[in-house]
Amino acid sequence: MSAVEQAEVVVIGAGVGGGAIASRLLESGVRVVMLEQGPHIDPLDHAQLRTDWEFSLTREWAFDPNVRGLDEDYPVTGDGFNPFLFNAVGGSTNHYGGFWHRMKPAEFRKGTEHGLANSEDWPISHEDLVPYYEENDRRFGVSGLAGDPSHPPREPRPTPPLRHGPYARIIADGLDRLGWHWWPADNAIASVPYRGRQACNNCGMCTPGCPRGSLGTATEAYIKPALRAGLDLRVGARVVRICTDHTGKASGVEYVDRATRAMHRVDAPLVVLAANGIGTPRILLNSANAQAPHGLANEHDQVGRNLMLHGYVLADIWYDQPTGHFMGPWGASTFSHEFHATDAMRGAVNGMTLTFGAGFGPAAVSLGGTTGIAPVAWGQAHHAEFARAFDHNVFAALQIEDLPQSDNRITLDPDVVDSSGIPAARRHYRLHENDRTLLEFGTQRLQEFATASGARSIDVQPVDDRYNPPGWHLMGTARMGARPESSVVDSWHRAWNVPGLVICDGSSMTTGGAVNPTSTIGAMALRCADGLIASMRSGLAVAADPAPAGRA
Amino acid sequence: MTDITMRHPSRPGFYNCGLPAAVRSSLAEAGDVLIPRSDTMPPAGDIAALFVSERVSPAEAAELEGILGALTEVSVATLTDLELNRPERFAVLRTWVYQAYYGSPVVTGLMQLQGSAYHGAPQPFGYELHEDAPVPTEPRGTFIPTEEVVRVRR
Ligand SMILES: Cc1cc2nc3c(=O)[nH]c(=O)nc-3n(C[C@H](O)[C@H](O)[C@H](O)COP(=O)(O)OP(=O)(O)OC[C@H]3O[C@@H](n4cnc5c(N)ncnc54)[C@H](O)[C@@H]3O)c2cc1C
Repeated sequence: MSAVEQAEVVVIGAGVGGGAIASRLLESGVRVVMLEQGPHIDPLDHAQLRTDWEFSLTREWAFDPNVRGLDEDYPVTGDGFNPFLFNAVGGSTNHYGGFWHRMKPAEFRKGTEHGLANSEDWPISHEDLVPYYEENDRRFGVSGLAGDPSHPPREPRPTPPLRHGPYARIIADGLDRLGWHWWPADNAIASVPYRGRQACNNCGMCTPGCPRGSLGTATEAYIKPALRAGLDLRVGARVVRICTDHTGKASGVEYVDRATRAMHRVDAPLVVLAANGIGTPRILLNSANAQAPHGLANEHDQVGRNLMLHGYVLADIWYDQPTGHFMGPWGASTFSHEFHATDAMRGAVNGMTLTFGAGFGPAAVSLGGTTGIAPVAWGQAHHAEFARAFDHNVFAALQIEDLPQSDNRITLDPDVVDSSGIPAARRHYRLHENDRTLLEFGTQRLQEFATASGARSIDVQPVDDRYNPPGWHLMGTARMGARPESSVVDSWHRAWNVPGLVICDGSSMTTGGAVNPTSTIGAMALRCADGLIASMRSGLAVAADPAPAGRA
Repeated sequence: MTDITMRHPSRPGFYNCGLPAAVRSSLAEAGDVLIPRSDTMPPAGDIAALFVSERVSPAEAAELEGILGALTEVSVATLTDLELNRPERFAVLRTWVYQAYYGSPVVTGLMQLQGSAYHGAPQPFGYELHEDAPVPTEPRGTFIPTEEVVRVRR
């Protein structure tokens, strides 16, 4: 172990949560050391410059770290969903879609609304986050159109709506025929040159990252500005554990330099953990010590529990007319919140988002599109069938708000370790009956949409024994709450019973909403940073106070 | 602290293991059966053999060797039989061939020549789109304000 270094603040993870907090602290004059296990991504690392870009999605740009198997990846064992995340500067936004939603007011009040399973009210409200949603949108250069009546009124988006291929008109007409709510989707993609970033040139594929910087990643929004403000970012720095002093206060972190395998320690009065819904509980559990034998901040056995992902059903919809699904941003063109609010007549609580947009390229289409359900025929019929499929596809996703459940959780794998010898994360996830009912209801709506929009056919992933959803929204495993008995952090992200430790990323979400989470994660993190700055300026300790239950 | 420039082990060419000559030639035969020549498009055989050789890992090479080696010959009949009786093995073979074919600049170039707007590598050109995104003419939708959230009856 090298000599112990001293820092003002240590941030673990260079993703959305970590990036937003570090950037805000630096702007206030706080010096920050940021530890990120992955590398910097160079624009030329992205696959869009290669004809075989789709193949890269099965290799170094695969969504699943178990498939990529890179040195910076850690294994995620277990089952119940596909673990999708990315370990590099910018975190999982390096290959996200940038579909951008705010949670609506009622999504912060699921305890009041029904309290089913472990649903609780957030200790903060939509209104608490509004100024931070706005600021976060500006950082990401979000594109979109104001005026959606299904949301509280808000400021105009920083960049105008994106353009899309012909599929956008087909989708809009279909939804109009049904008389359902729809609106052009917001995306964290700059539609015009924005703060030194190039405008999106509609190349059709965002998920192997964006070499132009048009896709608003945590790197573009926060890390680059933070580096300009003096961020001490250490890449290839994998945190092993968070250390505490004899009083139980967080005192620093130990990390391994993946290149040299040397151990280092940085001490700091404030540790910010932002390693995402899987990485965060993994580090907390691996930080067990004599005072905290079951893991840090885990006195009430809440760490890793209440994992939420959003229940998903993906669909390929096929049309006779050309859809241009390979052009335009991969970000959604259109969403519908017709079924977003709870309606008990469905036999289930919570709601859903229907998202529509571009599909993938020719290789994916030949193999059956996003779902892979019906690959193009082989043999003599191949070319004619391919011509009917390529340029005739639309992607649709049904995304429901899943309930937080104790048994849906992340633990440490007792047998498997990563390339640094740290225990792998193990996942376990099963749908609640309520979630299953919502998915079945939503699947019928997708089929209605296909008919109304004049589709030739629709391939929908079944909700059956093979259900194995994409786990790209990793939420709730160190959730925010009003009581230490049912949460891990308080309304300001301070870990219960561990002064000096703040946790802020997807894991902080009390409930998951029925919308993509990253806008909310960024907003939470900016708010968290403001709380930290206020504490530092007033000389207050960063420590959660369980009584009275703190409401923001 | 060292600034690491990652070498992705999965980058094309990294494994440098290729395919044994016999596997390569059966893969080329299988490619020609799965995607045969048409009036305007080439068959997949040689394209697939080259693409796969450049990218395959040792474990994947062994898997392909197992799949192709178990065929008595490569023909429509044996591949039909494979698809029916060993669908997971057939899917591995088909995935390699289709990925190779549609990831090939020759194929995407020919698609473009025949009028497709798809131009292969998404960057640096992107696509020019001239029409603004549609906007609802009859906006619909509501939301429930924070103070109006009440218990639902189930
Ligand atoms: C394929 C895909 C598509 C997606 N599409 C969308 C979308 O369209 N819209 C949307 O809102 N969201 C989307 N998401 C989700 C979005 O990427 C995440 O919500 C967001 O990135 C989470 O932010 P975070 O701060 O919680 O964690 P992350 O952004 O994942 O950052 C965590 C960081 O911590 C680092 N870390 C972890 N452990 C350690 C350790 N021990 N030591 C050091 N560093 C560590 C990781 O390497 C990582 O860089 C998508 C995700 C994926 C994978």
